[in-house]
Amino acid sequence: MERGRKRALVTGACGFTGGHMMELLIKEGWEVVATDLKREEHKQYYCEEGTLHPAYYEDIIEKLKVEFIPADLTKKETLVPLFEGKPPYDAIFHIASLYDYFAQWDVLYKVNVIGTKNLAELAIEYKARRFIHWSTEGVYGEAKDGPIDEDHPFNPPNNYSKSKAEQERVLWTLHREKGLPLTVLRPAPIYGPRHRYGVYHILYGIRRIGTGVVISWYPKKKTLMFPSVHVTDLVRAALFCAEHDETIGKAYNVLSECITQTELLEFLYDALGIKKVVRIPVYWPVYKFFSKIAMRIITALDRRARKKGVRPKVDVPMAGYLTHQYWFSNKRLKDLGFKYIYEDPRKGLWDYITWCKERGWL
Amino acid sequence: MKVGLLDVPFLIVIGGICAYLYAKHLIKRNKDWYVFLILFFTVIFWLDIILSNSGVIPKPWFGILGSVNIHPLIGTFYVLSYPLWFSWGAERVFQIFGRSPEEEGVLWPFTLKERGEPFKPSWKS
Repeated sequence: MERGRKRALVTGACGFTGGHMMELLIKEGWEVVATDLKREEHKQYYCEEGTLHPAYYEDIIEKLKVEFIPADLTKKETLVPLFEGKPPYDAIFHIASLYDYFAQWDVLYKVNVIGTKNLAELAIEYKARRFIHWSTEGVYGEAKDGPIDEDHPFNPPNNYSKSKAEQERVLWTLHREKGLPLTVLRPAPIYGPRHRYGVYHILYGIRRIGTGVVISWYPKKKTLMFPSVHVTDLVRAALFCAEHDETIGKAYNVLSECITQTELLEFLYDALGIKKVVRIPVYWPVYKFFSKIAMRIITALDRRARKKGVRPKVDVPMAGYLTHQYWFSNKRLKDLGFKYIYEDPRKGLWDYITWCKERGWL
Repeated sequence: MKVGLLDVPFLIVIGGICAYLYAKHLIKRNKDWYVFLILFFTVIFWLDIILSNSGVIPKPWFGILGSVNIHPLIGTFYVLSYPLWFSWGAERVFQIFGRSPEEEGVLWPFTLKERGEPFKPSWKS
């Protein structure tokens, strides 16, 4: 190892965000140790039916020529080789998580809570200097009055977010009681090159449906917002936090400025070349009534899919964006001096859509 | 002026069927097929009206359930609106089933299987 070169451990390295994190770290001169499940183990956790599911990018490890140590968070003994006989890490970027709205609670708990606890305990034991943890904006639940900041209480609306909230509680306890040098990032839905689970559903769905619907809510204050973050900004924020010790013991929302869903859809239909767009002004209670019917249909489809052992095209929690107000503030991170490249999500989405179009993804 | 009572419903249904065939099959051969279809069926229905009003045929072919006599001015507007009714029917089908082999229309979220063809890489952005 070269002296003075910073060392990082990246978990979830074969996932969408993990790959981008490693690319940035290598570009910035860090030495990276990567870990993730082996390919065949990944299939045990994720239903890989159809097009829309979290992807596994094994080729990124080879491309970046990083040291790869396969491990399963749920089996602590498999994590030990990540630390044993190695100098302490300057930062652990803990991205690995079972990010799958289709997953059952027991599996989510096992991977996201127990798995993270296993890793954090080893990080303390082997004296990692920083522990940058990926949580989610989903832990807050719905915004009632304006954008939610980092001090807002947790009210997770679905099993995945509940597992992330529980995961955070475990980590904060370790931070308080055992000195885990923890920084928590709470990103909004992430998108960017290679992404295909989450925001991609919206774009893919629009392309498949082929006709656009733009809804304007009345009263105007009921207009739903759309939070998101480009993966480039997210990994930059993670590195920024790793390089600023004052971020220890703090949580940060990481997202571009929120735009309204109306603005988002207008933009997406234009960017995706959807020619026929239907505009519907609607009174909020009427909208809510029809959204509930849509939610019931989506829930019924989810049940049918589970019976058949396949994945539905829209996971039920994703459909929560139809009725819930998800609106967050990124002020704390910006106040620290972090500058977003994609402050306006439309700029990032345009780049991402272009990337997808070039590859036949949209 | 004599017009068929069922001309408009027929055109809506024919427009829908043509839209489906166009989106799933014909578009791949030639994008102009849609225009040909509109012209073809509109001209047939117009011919029907012209022939029945000029006495060549006793009543409109498509007026199976009867035809009515209306004011010539209203009748002219009614007959001229035929391509719009064809398009209206076609548009509803496009919305339900999609406008191309890659699209699946509003049925997409409500089905479990992907029925659309894969997207082709595009270098236009």
